Amino acid sequence: MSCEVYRESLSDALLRGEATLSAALAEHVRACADCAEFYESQKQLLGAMDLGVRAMVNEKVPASLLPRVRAQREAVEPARLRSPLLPTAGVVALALLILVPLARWRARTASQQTINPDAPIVREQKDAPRMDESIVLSMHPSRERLRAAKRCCKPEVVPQEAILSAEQAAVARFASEHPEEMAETVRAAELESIELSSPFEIVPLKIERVEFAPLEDDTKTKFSPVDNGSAQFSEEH
Amino acid sequence: MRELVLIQPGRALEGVSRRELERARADREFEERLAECGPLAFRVAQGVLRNAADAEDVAQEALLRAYRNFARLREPAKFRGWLVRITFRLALDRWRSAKRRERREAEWLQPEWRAAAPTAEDVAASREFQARLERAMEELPEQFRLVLVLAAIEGYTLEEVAAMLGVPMGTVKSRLFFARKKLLEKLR
Repeated sequence: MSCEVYRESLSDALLRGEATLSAALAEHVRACADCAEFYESQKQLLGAMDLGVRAMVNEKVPASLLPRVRAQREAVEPARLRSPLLPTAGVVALALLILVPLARWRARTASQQTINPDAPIVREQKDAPRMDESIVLSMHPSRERLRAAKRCCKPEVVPQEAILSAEQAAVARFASEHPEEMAETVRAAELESIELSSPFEIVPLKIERVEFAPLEDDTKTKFSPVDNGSAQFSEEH
Repeated sequence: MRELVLIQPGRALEGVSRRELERARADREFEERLAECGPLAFRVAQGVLRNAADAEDVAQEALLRAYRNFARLREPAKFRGWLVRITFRLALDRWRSAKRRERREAEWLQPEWRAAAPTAEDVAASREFQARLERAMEELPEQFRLVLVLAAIEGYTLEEVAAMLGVPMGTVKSRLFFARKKLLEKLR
């Protein structure tokens, strides 16, 4: 080992505060005069350094320090007198201030959601088969659109007719007393529904001849349209 | 029109006295901590600033801050550690601002106004060494510097320093070792 390495080890031993050197170091210090001198100088330097730091730090505490702190303490409001729940309450209030308007805004935008004109629009068709929800989801990936699609595909509740019990009893009595008429009424109702549901055409009404005849008097007034568009009334006895 | 006011004197007095009792108890506890840790705060500040007046100001400010936050710091170990850290931080801030001020003043000061430099004979060897030591300490990293100062304060063991800083004993020892080694290298 060179003297440089020994000196490094000697310094480290001093810094660690080792009271005695190891056998190898002690032997080298005995044998090498330069290293012995270095060791002594380092010991003195380290001692002076420690003394200097201690002197710097352990200066006499001024007698005025504690009275000054006591005097200033009167003007200081300690934080402990505040309620410990205050910070929590503040956080909760802040969260509410943010979340409540946000929730309202989201609800409003959900109800007033404007769908992109390029996006497919789901419309209710009575005769069309119901669309599968997975297809709707693929067409409307966003949550708002999914909600809109669900609303759209949701079957409407058909209002039921309110029939009074007195009416039901009257119909039952009518059916038992007049079975033929009841059957005829039912048949007529069915025919009516068939006729209404069947396609029909509306054509302009053409009147060719109208007769007015008094019930008691035998005098008849006849109305006959003429070619020039006017009408002619004539009385016959 | 007459107003009816419901007065509950017993409860109001009870509330006031409870608050006062609470404050009195906290003040008594703080007074104990103040007597114990006031010198510690001063010495930490002095280790950084090396000026008794500045160190006193910093220690006072740190102690008042500790009083303000006393609700969290009633545990003695917690109080000491917090006080040491805040004092060291405040002292460093003041030291830096003082350095800036010195630099500004040195830039503006005319050469003929500058105080006459002391001759080599005037400077005592110890003062020169002290100045070199102070410069060497200023160049130390903060965590090494704090450990060096705390370990140098009389009456505190390395275990107590470790408890104050909230670090293991081995960390304190290694920091102290490197701090002294750096100082030694600079002073050679």
